[in-house]
Amino acid sequence: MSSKVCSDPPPFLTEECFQGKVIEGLSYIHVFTTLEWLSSKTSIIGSGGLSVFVGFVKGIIDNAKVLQLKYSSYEPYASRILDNIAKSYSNNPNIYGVIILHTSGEARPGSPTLFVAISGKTRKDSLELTREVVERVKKEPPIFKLEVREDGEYWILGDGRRIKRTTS
Amino acid sequence: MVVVKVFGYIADITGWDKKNVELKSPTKLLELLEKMLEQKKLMMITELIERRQAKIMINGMEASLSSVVYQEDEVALIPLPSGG
Repeated sequence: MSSKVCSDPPPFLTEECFQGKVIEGLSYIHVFTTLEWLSSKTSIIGSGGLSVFVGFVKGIIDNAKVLQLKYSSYEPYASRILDNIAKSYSNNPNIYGVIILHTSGEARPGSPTLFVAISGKTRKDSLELTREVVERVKKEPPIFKLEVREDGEYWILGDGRRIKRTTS
Repeated sequence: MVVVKVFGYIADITGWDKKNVELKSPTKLLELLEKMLEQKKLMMITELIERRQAKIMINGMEASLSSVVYQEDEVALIPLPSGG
């Protein structure tokens, strides 16, 4: 790839085609704005497609209604690790951009929590990398979530287990 | 001043998420935590660390209970990440 600069970014991003960060209250405005920008800027340097993953809050778990997830992160390290994950692919000649945005704060069912967009030379390049990036984001940055349900509050652990909260 | 931050369900164990501590001299982290936490809570946390269900960071770098803490350091006790 000849350039890693993606000019004229949305106000919550920088002029880099490979970047990641935690955003308080990630919304679909962030998602759609980023998609439009990344596809526009990487198309002119040879990209033919984007692969996207959007994680959002489930509304029901184990037959219990989920009211919200509360995300906390250890900053600046969580954002730094997300950024490092994105930049770790910047030398791949078939990948033109990687953007990773993760929410913090409170999120209600249906709200986006994780957005990964990968612009690649071909669909195979971007689709395969999307899965890898999502798996890394779930394990590497110090981000934590508390699930608030109608039957109580549960800490969600890294391996997917839940611990019922005994204090509030 | 040393800042100790705890995250996720570990904060439910400690009952607080951030404390500032004055250090007279460099101290091993385990000794610092012994002064800050009741024995039962300390055991719960050290067990999590030994089982690799939690980890320690000092100034953003992975550390251990035997790491030495200096004045102005930031210590974090964090459970396994659960991003996504």
